[in-house]
Amino acid sequence: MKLDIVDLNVDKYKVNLSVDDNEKIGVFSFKKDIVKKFLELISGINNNKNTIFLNQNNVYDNKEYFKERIFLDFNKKYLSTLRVQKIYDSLKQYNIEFDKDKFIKICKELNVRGETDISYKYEFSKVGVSFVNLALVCSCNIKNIIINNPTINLILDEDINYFVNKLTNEEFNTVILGLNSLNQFQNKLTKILIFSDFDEAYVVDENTSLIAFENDIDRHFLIKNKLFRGNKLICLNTLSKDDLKNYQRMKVRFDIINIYEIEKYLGDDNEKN
Amino acid sequence: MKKINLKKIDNEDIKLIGNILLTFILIFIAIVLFEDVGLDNSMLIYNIYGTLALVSFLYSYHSSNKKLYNDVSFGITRKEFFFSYLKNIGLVLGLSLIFVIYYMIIFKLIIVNNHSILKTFNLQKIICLPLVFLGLSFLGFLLGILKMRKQFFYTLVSILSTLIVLGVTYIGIKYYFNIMLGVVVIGLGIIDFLLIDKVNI
Repeated sequence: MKLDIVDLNVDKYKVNLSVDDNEKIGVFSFKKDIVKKFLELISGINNNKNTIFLNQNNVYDNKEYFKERIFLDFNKKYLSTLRVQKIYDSLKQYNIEFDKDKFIKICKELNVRGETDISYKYEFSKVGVSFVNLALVCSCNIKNIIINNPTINLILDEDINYFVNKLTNEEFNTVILGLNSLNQFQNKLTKILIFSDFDEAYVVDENTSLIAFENDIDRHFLIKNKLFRGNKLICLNTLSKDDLKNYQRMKVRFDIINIYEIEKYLGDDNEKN
Repeated sequence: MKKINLKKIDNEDIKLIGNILLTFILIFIAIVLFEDVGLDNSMLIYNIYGTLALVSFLYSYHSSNKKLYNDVSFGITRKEFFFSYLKNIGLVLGLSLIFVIYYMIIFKLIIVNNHSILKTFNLQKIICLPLVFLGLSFLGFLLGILKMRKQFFYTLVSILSTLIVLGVTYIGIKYYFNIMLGVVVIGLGIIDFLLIDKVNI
């Protein structure tokens, strides 16, 4: 699946991005509503005003595109049962093939029952909701997935690793993830779309270098390509060696960091949104 | 002692047919009982459409407010969703008409042999009721698309329920009112169709 995004407006942000076959794309921002809006546009749910294309055709409400992709928010409850026949019957109305054995296998591996209160109905804990959503998406025959909040509510590292591996392995073709946490997906993403705190969208990859300045540096210096402001001000590192030497000479403190260290350098302030 | 194994009936079609047959039987029993009590001959028709209109109003609101988003996420296009919704509403309307016609025929056979159906029932009202059902369904769908807040929606439901009961019981319906209602229903249907394609969900 190859998607082209040309001059898409999401609130004040302008996005240009090309999503190729087999790419694993992460979308990250501290403004969670922007990520959700973007995912709803790229999954064809809401009107993109002719800016997102699959083989030159607009993806909005596009039947052919809809057959190839599925959109889920792992913070949302989609299943109210673990009975595979019921799930199978429900998915039949969407023409989605459902692999019952795979669903049972993943549920067992994640111990979904441990996160479920079964009385006259199935009550999943928040972690349980994420578990069954992962089992669901992996058991459907759809290979292009768009997932919002993929690891939300997960606490244990082993669960997080399980989710990250399942969602980014070769089983899926194109994967677009609205990341609730960036560092959990270290070395698993081919591109990352960042909606900054400064109304600019950037497409970066894992090797992109960032620079973390003191929080109020931009009061004294003109700083370009600003991404996020928290305990530190984080920007794209487009500075030359000479520029960096100049900053050192002027006793400006900074750290060169990689893309997955953003949350660490912003500290608790990154919960602001 | 040997245990009797009562297997649950899971087949939805069998359940549906069972419910329809049960409704026919209950309508028949109701007519026999009405004969003794001497109630308004159209009371059961009001009940059928009053209940259907309110249930359909709620169903339509939840369809466009919540189900639409989920269905689109799983690969149903907006137009497919709308036509499937229309099909469901159409089926309910068709089924309710069958119930009403059955009621009228049985009522005539058992209770009033000497009058024609046209004289026994107020046809203006009986035409008005399906239109109210359709109107409320489309209105519910519209409010769902527009994401009306639930508190307001449920307040509206209570007001409408009261108005329907009072309206059907006390207001005489004239033919031009039905024509007007028909135009409103078509208008709401067209607005729903146009909006479902445009609005962010």
